[in-house]
Amino acid sequence: MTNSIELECSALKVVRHKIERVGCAYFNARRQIGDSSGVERSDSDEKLAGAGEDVDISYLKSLDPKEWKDQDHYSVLGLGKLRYEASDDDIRRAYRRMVLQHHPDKRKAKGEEVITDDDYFTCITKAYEILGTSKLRRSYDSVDPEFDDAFPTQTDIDSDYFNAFNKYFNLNARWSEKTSVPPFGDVDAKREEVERFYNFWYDFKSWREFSYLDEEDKEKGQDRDERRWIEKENKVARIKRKKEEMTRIRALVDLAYNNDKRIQRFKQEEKDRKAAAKRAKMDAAQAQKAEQERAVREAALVKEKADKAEQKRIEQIRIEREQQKKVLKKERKTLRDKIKDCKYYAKNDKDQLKHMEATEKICETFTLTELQSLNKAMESKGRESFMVAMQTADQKIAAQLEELNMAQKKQQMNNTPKSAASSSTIKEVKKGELWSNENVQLLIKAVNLFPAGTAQRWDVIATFINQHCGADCSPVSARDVLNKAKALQNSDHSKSTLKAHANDAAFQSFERSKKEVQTTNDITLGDAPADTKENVKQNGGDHLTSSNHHHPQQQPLLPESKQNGNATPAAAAAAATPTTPAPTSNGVASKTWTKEEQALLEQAIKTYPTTTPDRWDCIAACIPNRSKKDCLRRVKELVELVNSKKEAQAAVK
Amino acid sequence: MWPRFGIKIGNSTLCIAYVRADGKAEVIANKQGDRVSQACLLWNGDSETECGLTAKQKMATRPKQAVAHSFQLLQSKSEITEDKLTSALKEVPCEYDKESFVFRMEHTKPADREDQDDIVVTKEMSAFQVTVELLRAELELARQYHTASDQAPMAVLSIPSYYPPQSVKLLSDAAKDAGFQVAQIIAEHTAAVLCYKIAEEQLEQSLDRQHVLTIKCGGLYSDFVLYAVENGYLIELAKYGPFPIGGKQFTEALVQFICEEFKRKYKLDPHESRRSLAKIRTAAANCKHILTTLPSTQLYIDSLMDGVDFNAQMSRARFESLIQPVINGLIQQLSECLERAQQAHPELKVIDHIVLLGATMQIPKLQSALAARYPDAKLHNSHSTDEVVAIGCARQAVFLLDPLHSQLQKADDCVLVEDDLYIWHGNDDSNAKLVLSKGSILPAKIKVSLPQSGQADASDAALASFKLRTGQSEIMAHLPDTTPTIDDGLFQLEVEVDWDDKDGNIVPLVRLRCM
Repeated sequence: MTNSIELECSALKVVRHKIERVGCAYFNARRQIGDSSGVERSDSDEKLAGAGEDVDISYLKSLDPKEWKDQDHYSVLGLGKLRYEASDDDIRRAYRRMVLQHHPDKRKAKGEEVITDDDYFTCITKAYEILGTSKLRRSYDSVDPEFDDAFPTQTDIDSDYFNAFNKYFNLNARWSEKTSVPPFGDVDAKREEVERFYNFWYDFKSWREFSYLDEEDKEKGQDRDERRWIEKENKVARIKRKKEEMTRIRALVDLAYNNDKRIQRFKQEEKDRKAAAKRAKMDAAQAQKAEQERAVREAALVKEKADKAEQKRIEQIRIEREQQKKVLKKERKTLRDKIKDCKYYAKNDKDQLKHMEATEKICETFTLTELQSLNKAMESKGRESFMVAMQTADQKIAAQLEELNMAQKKQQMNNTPKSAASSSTIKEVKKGELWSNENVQLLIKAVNLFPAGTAQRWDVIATFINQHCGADCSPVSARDVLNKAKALQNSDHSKSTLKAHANDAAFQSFERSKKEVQTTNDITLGDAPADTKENVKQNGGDHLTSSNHHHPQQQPLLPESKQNGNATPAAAAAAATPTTPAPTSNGVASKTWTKEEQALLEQAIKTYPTTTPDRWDCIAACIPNRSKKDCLRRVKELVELVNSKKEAQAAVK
Repeated sequence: MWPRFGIKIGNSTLCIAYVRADGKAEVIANKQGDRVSQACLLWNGDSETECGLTAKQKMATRPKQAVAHSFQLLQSKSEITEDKLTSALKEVPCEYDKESFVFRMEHTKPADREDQDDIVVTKEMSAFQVTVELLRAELELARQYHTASDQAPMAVLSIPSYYPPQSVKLLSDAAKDAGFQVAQIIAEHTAAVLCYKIAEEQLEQSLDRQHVLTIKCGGLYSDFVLYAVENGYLIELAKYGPFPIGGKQFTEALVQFICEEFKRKYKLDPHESRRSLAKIRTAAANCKHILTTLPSTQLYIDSLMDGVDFNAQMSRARFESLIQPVINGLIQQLSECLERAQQAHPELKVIDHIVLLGATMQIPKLQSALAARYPDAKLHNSHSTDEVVAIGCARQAVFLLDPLHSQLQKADDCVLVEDDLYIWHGNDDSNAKLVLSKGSILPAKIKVSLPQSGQADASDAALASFKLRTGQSEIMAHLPDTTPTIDDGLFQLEVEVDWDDKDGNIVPLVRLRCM
C-alpha cells in the first residue's frame, strides 16, 4: 500500500560538475547511489533495514535481568533465527531497533509504567553487550544452548548413514577455525575427498571455548590473589570442558569412520590392488627369468653352431691344403720321374745338369695347375714342352729376382736419409759394394762362429766382419748384417746369385777334375809340369776335388746355407785362384787345408808340445803333402783367427 | 586484498608506495635503497634486460642498448605526431623505428676473429613492452609486502594529466601484463592533492569552495592543473601543459656552466666529445640533487677530457643563480596560465593551496620563488615531491569501492545539490529532517521516518501533507492517497531526488512515497 507524488523542485539549486573519481567523499556518495534500496535516514542517521524480527513483548517481560547468563541473547535481540549466522551489522541494527522500541523513556512517553531498577531493557543492553563484542560473542556462541551436542543414534546410522552424519558434521563445522570445511560427500565420493574429509576432522581445531560457563567472574574478586585463584579455577574448568569437547568431536568422527561403507570399500580395494600388484610383480619376475634362461640357451646354441662351422671350415681348409700339397708333391714326383725317365731330355751331359737344375726350378716355381698341364704336355710333346717350361721357369725366377732387387733397392732408397741426394747415391753405391763375395763369406763364417744365443750376436758379427775386411771396405752395421743374413737364409738357393756363382765355380772345378783324370791317364803325377799355370790350376782343382769328393754331384743343390757356408768359401777360393797369380805351389796349397789335414794338424800340435825340439818338423811330418812352412802359416792363421774372434767379442762388450 | 599499492610512472622515474587498511601510505625503497627508481631499461645484448639505476649507469657507455624516457611514447599510434616524436626522440638514447613504433636496440658483438666483421644484433621493444618491464621491476618491490600468491597485488596507477584516454588504457594493460591488478588510474595532479588530504580537511572543517593549484615539474616537462575542492569533491577547472621545462633544463644550465668553466681553465671544449658531455651531464644531475639538500658540494669529474680532471666547488647560491632563468621561465609560464584560467573561471579569485609534484620541484629556490609569487596560498611540500604522487595513489587505493573492477575514467559527470534539503510533516518544522546535504550527488534515494506533527488530528489533507525546504524556499507536497500508514506516530517516507535535463537546464525532481 504505497502512494507517491512527484514534484519539480526548481528551488533546489543544483550544479553539474566533472568530479575526479577520487577521495573519500566521492566514494561515499557513490556508495549511496549504488545501494539500490536507498538510504534510510532516521534520528541517528542509522540504517535499520532488515534487522531481525519482532520480539514478543511478553517474552521480554518475562526476562529476569538478574539471570542474564541463562538467557538466550539472540532471542532477546530478535535474532532467534539467525543466531550465530547474524553479522555484526545485523546485531547492531537489531539492537538499535530494540532500543527504539523498548527504551524506558520511549515507553514512558507512551504512558507505560516502568520500574527502572528491574526492567527487561537491561537484558537487551546486556545481550548487545555480549553479542556486540566479538570476544564475548564467541564465548556465548560456544555454549549456544540450541546447539546439539548429541551423536546420531545407531538406528539413524543404519537407516540413513549419509544424511545423519552430514547433519551432525555440518552442525559441528561451525566450530572450525578454518573456514573451508570439506564436505562429507555421498556414497560415490572419491577416495581423496573422503580422505581429506577424515584428515580434516581428525585434525579438527575448534575455536569453541567455555569461558561463558565460568563459575565466577574474575573481575568479582576482591583482591589480586582472589582474582588469580578464580582465574585458576576457571582455567581448569575450561580446559576440562575443552577436553570433553575434543573427545566428543573425536568420538563423532570415529563413529562416522567406523560405520563408513566407503572406507571399508577403499580398504578392500587397496587390499585387492596390493594383491594384484604383488601377483603382477611375481609374474613379471618369472617371465623375466624365463626370458633370461631362454636367451642364455639360445646364445649357447648359436655359439656352438658357430664353433662347429668354424672347426669344420678350418678342417676343410687343412684337408684341402694337404690335398693340394699331396697333389703338388705327386705332380712334382711325376715330373721328376718323367724327366729322369727321359734322361732329362739331355743331348749331352752339360745339358743334363742344366736340365736337372731346371727340373728342380720348375718343380719349385710352377703351381699345381701349371705342373699338371706341363705333365700332360710332356706326355704328348716331351722335350719341347719341357724346354718351354724351363724357359718360363727361368723367366719367372728372373722376374722374381728382379722384383726382389727392386724391393731391396726401394728399401735402400727408403733407408737412406733425405739429407742430400749426392750422399744417398754414394751410400747406395757403397751398399752395393758392401756385400761383395768376401764380405758375404766373412758373414757366413761369422754367423757360424757365433751361433745363435751369443750375446749381442749381430753386433759381434758386424765387428768381426769390419775387422776382417780390408781397409777399403766400408764398415757394416749390425743391422746390415742382420738383414743380409736373413736375406741369405730366406733366399732360395736357386735365386741367389752367390750360389749360382758358387755352383758355376763348382761345376768348372768338376769339369777340370774330369779333365785331370783324363790327363792323368797319360801323365804321371810326379812328372807334372809344375811351371805351367794350367798345372797349378789342375793342382788346385785336384785339391778341390779331394775336398769336394765328399759331396756328390748334388752339392750345388744343397739348400742349406750352412752347408753352403762351409763349401762355398773353398769353392770360391778355388775359383779365385786362377785370377790371383800364385808364386808357389805351397802358396796355393796353403789355402787348401782340408778337414782331415786340419784334424791331423790339431792332433799333431797336441802330440808335440811346444817343448819338443824340432816341433814343427815333426808336425809337418804328421800331415802328408804339407811342409813345415805350411803348417806354421796355418797355425799362425788359426791363432789370428781366434784372437780376432776374441777381440771382436771384447770390442762389442 | 591488503596491502594495496600506488604507483607513479613517469618519463624519468618510477615510485611505488604501499598502504595497509589503516590508510597509512609508505614508499617502498628499491634494492639500491632509493625510494625512487630510474625509468631506464638496458638490454644486455643477449636475453636479459635490466631496469633501474644500474641500467641508467650503463646507459652512458652503451647508449645504443638502453631505453630511457620511453613513457612519453606510450600512446596510441595515431596520437604520436611527427613533432611530438622528434622532440621525444631527443631524449631517447637508442634508435626508434618511426614506422613500426618500436625502440631498436643495437648490440655489437666483437667478432671472434680479426678478419670477420663485428656482429650487430638488434632487439625491438615497443614503448608498451618497456613499460611492462619497468612495472615488473616495481612488482618485485611490491612482493615484499604482498604475500598472497594467488592474487595479483592491487594497485592504483597515475598518469600525467595531459595524456589521452587511449594511453590510460595502454598503461592499464601494461600494468596487468606486468602482474598488477589495476584498480584505478588517476591523474598525477589529483593524486598529489589526495596525498595532502586537502579535500578531507575541507570536509572536516566544512570550508567553502577552495582552489588548488598543482604544479608539476618533472624530468622533461612541467604542467599545471587547477582544481576546485567542493564538499570534498575534486573538480578539475583547467589544465595547462606540457611545457618543455623540466629537470633537464636545470641540469643543462649547470652543464653549460661546467663547460664554460672548463674551457676557460684548460682551453678545451667538452662539447667536442660526446663522452665528456655525458660525464658532465651525470655529474651535473648528481650535483643538482645534492644541492637540493646541502648548501654546497664539490663538483669533481675524473678525466673529463684529454685526461684533464675537473674540480670545482659548487655552492647552492651559485647554482641558484645559474638556474634563475629557467625558474623565471617557469613562473612566467605559470602566471600566463593562471591569467587564462581566471578569464575562463571568473569565480577564481584566490589560490588557497599550491601542491608541488615532480622531482624538480624539490629545488628549494623554485619552491621559495613560488611561495614568493603566491604568498596567500598554502604551499604543500611536506612530502618529497617525487614521492607525492605514489603516496596519493596509495591513499586512493584505500577508498576503492569495487577494487576488482578497474576504473579507467578519470572524471565522473555528476549533478550536485548545492543546498541542503529538509523535509517535515505538516507544520512541524522543528522536527525537520535533512534529506540531502549540500554536495550530494543526484540521483539519490533516501528513506526517512518522520514524526507526526502535533496537529495530526486536523484533517486528512493535513495528514498527508509534507513540506520541503531548500535555502529560503519551501515546497508543499500532498500525497494523493489520503491514508498513509502511521506506525507509532512515524511516517516511513521514501524520498527520491533525481534530475531532468530540460533544454540544457537541469531541473531537479523530487519523488515522495509513503510506505
